[in-house]
Amino acid sequence: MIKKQPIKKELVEIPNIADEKPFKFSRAKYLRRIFVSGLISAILIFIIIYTLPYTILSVSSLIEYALIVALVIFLVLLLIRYFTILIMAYLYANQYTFKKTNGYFPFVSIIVPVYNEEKVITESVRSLLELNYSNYEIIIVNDGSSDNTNEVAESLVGYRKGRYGEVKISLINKPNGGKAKALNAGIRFSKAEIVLCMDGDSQLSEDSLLLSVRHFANSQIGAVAGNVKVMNRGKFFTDLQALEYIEGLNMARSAQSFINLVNIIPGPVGLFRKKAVEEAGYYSSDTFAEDADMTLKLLANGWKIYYEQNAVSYTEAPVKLQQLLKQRYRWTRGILQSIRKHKKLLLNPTINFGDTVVLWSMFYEALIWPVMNIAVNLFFITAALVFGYSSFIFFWWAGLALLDLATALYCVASEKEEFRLIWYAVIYRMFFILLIDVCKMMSTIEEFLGIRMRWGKLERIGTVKI
Amino acid sequence: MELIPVLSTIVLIATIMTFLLAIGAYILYKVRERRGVAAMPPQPAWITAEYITPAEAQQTARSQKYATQPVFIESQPSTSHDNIKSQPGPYQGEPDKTEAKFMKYSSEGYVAPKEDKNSGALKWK
Repeated sequence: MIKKQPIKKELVEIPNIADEKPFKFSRAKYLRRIFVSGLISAILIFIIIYTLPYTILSVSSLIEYALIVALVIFLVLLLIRYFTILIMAYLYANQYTFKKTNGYFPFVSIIVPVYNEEKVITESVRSLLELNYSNYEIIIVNDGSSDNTNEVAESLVGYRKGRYGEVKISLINKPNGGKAKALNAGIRFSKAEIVLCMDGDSQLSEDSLLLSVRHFANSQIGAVAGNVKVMNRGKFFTDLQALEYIEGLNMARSAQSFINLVNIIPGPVGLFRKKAVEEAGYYSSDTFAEDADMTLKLLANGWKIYYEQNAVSYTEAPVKLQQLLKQRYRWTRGILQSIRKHKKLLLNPTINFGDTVVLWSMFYEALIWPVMNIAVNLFFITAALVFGYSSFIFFWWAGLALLDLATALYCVASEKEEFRLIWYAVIYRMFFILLIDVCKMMSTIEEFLGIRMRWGKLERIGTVKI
Repeated sequence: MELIPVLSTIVLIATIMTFLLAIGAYILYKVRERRGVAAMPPQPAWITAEYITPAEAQQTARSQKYATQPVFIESQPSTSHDNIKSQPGPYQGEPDKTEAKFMKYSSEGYVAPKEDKNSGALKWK
């Protein structure tokens, strides 16, 4: 039972940066896009049909050769991608040196934006009070919740017992405006040098703050990304996501951290130098992946971003397929919006070469890779159903399953995770990733057509404690 | 009975079902989402927020414990930590790598691998 402490309320005015462009539905714009894409495709098809008789190829052999070439390219890219990430992640792990901290303990503000998180906010704050760090405060930002989040958060305000003394907990109640604006409000009120931005439903491990803050002793580091793990395991989809976070997300971040160019600081745990955030113009609301957008802005300003594997944040993953697709839909569209926003850097590597590399890798992962994966699977399905080559799909699945098993083994060992997750690697690529990639492709089409989207809210259960 | 044709059939059916499941779930998601779509109201330039903090009396009593300055837990040998400040300096650009081509990143910043090996501290791989 949390004892209420005397509180003080004051009304303040905070800027509500309106950087998002107002959405204007334009039928003419959609039709123009579809017309132009269709026209280009028709021209290409016409060129192929017109020039084909002048070659030695027939239509069927052209298709055969094209498919074989595409398959070989996909295989080569798959292997290059896997081994590049594995090698760089291994080099990152090898450069990691665990030492006691050097006495560098800057004051940190932990910003906790919440929206309808009445079930989970108490546990989140409890985990923050158990942090193995002495010099921090907690600022909860209630983004216009419609449930009892306000009452629950208000009861937490005060000086609460932390591990090394008392920790000040403050609350900002503001009208609903989205996560980006909630974080901005918290960051503006913070007087700290370093801010930790997290999700309202996440729980941090004890040493997360201690181990991530020390990297800021290097003046080039503008932000540190943490390690996100799935908390609510034990169900089919959550176990698959747990493996995905370990193998797909965290391993990739380790690889990127080797060159100090992490491309997305995850929402559940990210530390920022406040000065870097101010230079970047705070979080923007014009994309649905404000974490990706902020990361790209920091990289564009020349800051380095590191990944701290032991700064763990436990988050609740979607349990149902619908919730999972909603999340991935938002992620994909948000990332594409962020890439589009920074397209100048994408097309001109002379501005910031590192940023260009990061953007192209994001573009590849968000758009090209899912399309290739779907195309290959459709190819094998067609080969099996139309031409009777059914064993191709089996060998394709077996090869990928072995690759994923080996990668999962490495990642689970590296992060000292649950061994049982490795067996999910057998169906990981052919089932889970295929599901996600279909969603990504649909999201990409919608983003291309400019169809409007909205945030939505993931259903929280709030029954898990770390 | 040949094993590979059986497994191939299983994998083929599973892949086709996955495609159908993905497309079906996506369509269902879009149908549900469309039901609750509402236009976002225009956002003002400034908004009023309520800032709630612990009361003044408590704050005064605890002001000594509430440290806004960095707290140093232990003293370190000065030779290792001369270049570490509590407040990081302005952005300096790339570190000087003239001494060694390959530098190792540790909690003290960039160190030459030889130096790091001799430090005697616990290494974690």
